[in-house]
Amino acid sequence: MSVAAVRVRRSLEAATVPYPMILGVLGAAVVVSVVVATGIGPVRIAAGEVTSILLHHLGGGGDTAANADLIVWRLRFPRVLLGAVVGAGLALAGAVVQSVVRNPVADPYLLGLSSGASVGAVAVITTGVSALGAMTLPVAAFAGAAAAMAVVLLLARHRGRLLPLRLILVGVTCGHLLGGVTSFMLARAENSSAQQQIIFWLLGALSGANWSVLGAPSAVVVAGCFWLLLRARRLNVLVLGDEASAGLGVNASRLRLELLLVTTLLVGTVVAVSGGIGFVGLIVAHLARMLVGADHRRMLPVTALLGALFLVWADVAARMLITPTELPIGILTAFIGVPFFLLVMHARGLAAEGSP
Amino acid sequence: MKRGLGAAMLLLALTGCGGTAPAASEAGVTVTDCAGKNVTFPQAPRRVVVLDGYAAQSMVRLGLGDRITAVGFTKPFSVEKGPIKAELARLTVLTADSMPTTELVAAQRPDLVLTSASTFGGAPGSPKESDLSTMDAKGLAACVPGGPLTTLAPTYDFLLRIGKVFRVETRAEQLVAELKTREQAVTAKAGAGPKPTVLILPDNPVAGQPVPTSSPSTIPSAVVTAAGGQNVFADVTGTRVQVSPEKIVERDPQIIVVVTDYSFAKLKGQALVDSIRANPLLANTSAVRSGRVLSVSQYLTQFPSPLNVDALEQVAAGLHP
Repeated sequence: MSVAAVRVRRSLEAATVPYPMILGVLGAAVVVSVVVATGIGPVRIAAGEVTSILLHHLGGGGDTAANADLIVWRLRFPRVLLGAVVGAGLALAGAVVQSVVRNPVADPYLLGLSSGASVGAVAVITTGVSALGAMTLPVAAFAGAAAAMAVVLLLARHRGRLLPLRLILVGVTCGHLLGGVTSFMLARAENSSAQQQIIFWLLGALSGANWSVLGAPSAVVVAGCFWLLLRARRLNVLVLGDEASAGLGVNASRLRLELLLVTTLLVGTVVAVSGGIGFVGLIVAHLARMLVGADHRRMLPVTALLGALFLVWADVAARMLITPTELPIGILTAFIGVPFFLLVMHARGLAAEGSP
Repeated sequence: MKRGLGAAMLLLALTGCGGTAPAASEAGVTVTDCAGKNVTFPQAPRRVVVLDGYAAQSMVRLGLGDRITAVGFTKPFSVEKGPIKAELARLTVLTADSMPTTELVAAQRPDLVLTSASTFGGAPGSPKESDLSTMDAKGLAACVPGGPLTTLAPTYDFLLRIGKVFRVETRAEQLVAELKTREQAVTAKAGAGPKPTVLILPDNPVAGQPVPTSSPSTIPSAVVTAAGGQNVFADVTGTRVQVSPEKIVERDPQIIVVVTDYSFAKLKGQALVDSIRANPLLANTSAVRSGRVLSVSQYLTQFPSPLNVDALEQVAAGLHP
């Protein structure tokens, strides 16, 4: 075992300390990361200036004409916040889907959600429809995700019940079909800019963030998080299986339906503004379980915080790694996420995890 | 050398005066963007960030070099041979090898962001329309309509729209007339003769893989068509389309036009042409057997720019020796 792994193991063993402390440390880390990440970018701005701009605005000050103000407050800060929101949303959605289908390799994309969103977005990009102005693309992406979910739910229902294995099979199949549709539209795209735009969108990106796109996803992610916390106890029961759930007075099919609708809402709104950022939904929930165990009441808040933390830093790397050019963030989530995940898994031992 | 530079600067000063003087009676002008929306410019832009070298060439050819605050992706400058080369070299460069990212553009506080691509935000990290409005800048892009192209109309349209926005319509019309005269000279000469079939290749085809080529809706295909050739894949839609190697053999192009200098091609310039000549996949085509493999740089043909006409003359000379 490597030295680093031993160190991580020690720190993780030490982390069997009180849960509120973990939550507090992670919460503080998110806040600090957001501020630090706002200070990092291709245009160099002194740390002092960044903090004074942030304090000025958070204290209710208006926009100023300064260059730094434009870059820090109107371009960079909304982007960093969007990263945090998107990360939290995707991580939560991943955790829920894994529990709903009782499969540890499930993620929000497994059920065809992101493929549906892609078809919606790509259809708008290739046809050039702009009926709703700047909102056309996000609305189309959300509509695509919702439609895909509706079809999957309809096909996966069997004698009024919603069974995990059927859900996965139908979801994967529909996802494949929709992926094919996207690739077809990509190949037929009439201009190269649209093609480039589609490719970047499929890989996911936080560029183009501004204050006006931040509202909807933030509201949905915060509301979704609270709603899920209210359902956390029942989620714990759901993981035990349909019979056990019934014995404990929980209607598994009905709960699954509710949870999937909330997941669609989460993934749809998030993917609509950020494109298909992969891996976050798959991996963050596992990290959270390794840290605080599989009890949803404990792991859901940690999942959200870890997701936010992870994506904020992945985006910093996307912006800075090959500066002045930018990388699609999907590449970074894999680059940073995989080694980190393997390190933690190695140090902690996956057996210790209560998988869903 | 020095004298040439002085002359160029004098020329620039003269055209600058002639073109932009009537600022006194400035009324707002409105142009349509690529999505068909109207964009109004209450006054001529003063601080312009140009995202790519193609568009910078258009600006400088229109005598608007002094309005350029900074420029990105300057690789297309390498093919410029005209009198504007010195002025292009003096421009402030944000990022030489790629389009600049949103923050770098915003730091210049532009009132106009210009690109020869047909949308904003295509290149990773480059500003999107929403970013432009965040930084209070307008955007102007070169529009390529999407259907089959047989002339350089998109280039002329872009130059005329820039001319209108900067209130230098006369100069833009002059430049377009000049370019059109050259285009017509080429098409008139080519019009009478036979129309050889042309395969456009951006890279050396690899065995077992579909072959990328330029569809009829691209500027390279427009150049080939206007030069009196016919795109052997005139029936495909899309832009960077991929065709089957079998179809290439079946359609047997008489000429191959290699569009060089794309970033994705491993070999550049003549080396690429030589490797295509030696490619066994193409060995049986009439083009390779008769040795008619031409090349033209993507910096002349990829996006609308005045240099498209240089490409046109170059390709025409190869098609009709």
